[in-house]
Amino acid sequence: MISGKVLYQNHCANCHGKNGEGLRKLYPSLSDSKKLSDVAYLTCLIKYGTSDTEINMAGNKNLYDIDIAQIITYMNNQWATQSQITEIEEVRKSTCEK
Amino acid sequence: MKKWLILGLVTITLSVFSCQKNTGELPYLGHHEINAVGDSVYHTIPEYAFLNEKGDTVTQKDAEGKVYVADFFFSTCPTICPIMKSQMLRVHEKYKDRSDFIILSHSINPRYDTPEVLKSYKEKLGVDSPNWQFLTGTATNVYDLAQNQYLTSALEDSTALEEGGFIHSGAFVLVDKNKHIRGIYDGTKEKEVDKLLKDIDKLISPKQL
Repeated sequence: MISGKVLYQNHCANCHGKNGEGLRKLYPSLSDSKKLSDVAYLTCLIKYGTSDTEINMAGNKNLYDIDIAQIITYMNNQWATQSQITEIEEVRKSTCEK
Repeated sequence: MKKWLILGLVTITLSVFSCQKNTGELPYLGHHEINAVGDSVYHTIPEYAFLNEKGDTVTQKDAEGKVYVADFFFSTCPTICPIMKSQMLRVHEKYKDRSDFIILSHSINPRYDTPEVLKSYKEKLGVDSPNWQFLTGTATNVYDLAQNQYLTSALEDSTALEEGGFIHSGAFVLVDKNKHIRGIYDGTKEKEVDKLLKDIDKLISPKQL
């Protein structure tokens, strides 16, 4: 099993930074995000990306639900005030608009 | 006979030393030619024309008498570009107030990266200086310039899905005031960019601001 940290570094860190710091106004910081506990929101964002922002975020359709659960768990462990483990079930039942 | 041998050894030793003396200087990269007089003619970046993020035409005149760093990127690139840009910010921060230095970032996705898109990208990067220009033009021109003149790779490749549809190197190309390439660095690696900063110092005059 690949850890959330490795998945984060491979799929997220290029833009959002190794420590979730983001890059100025180009890529938002994750370490001070208030959305870290919103599993459905994060799941859809990671899977499908978004074009709501001016610099589009690419989706990661190749990631499995278990990968996404691990990434969200890792992000919460690193940056949320209350760390929580995200179960694969929570990811699976998230319904996205796409 | 012995005399000749000693003389030969001295000559060899001297030539080895004279080579070593030059190692502190930056090399001239690219194809060299020898002209009629027997002097080396170094590879020179030819004339070009692009639009910058303001929609103004940028040609070689804008880099006249300046040392510059060129790179190739696109605004929607999800892989190495963000790392390149955070490293290029280090270069920019160090030399942003100099009149004899400039950064030219070329978009390799000109269909999407219009001057307006690049303007917004530059603003979001927090860069507010004419010393870092974001250029766009036609795909053919930019690929030719990257591949054949700046000796780095940049191509559209629809199979490169993970990379956002384009393949390009993360190279930062250092060009001197006479349009000769003096160094190519991996813009995704902090240590290489450390070396680039040192090499820029060798090419710009310490006094001029």
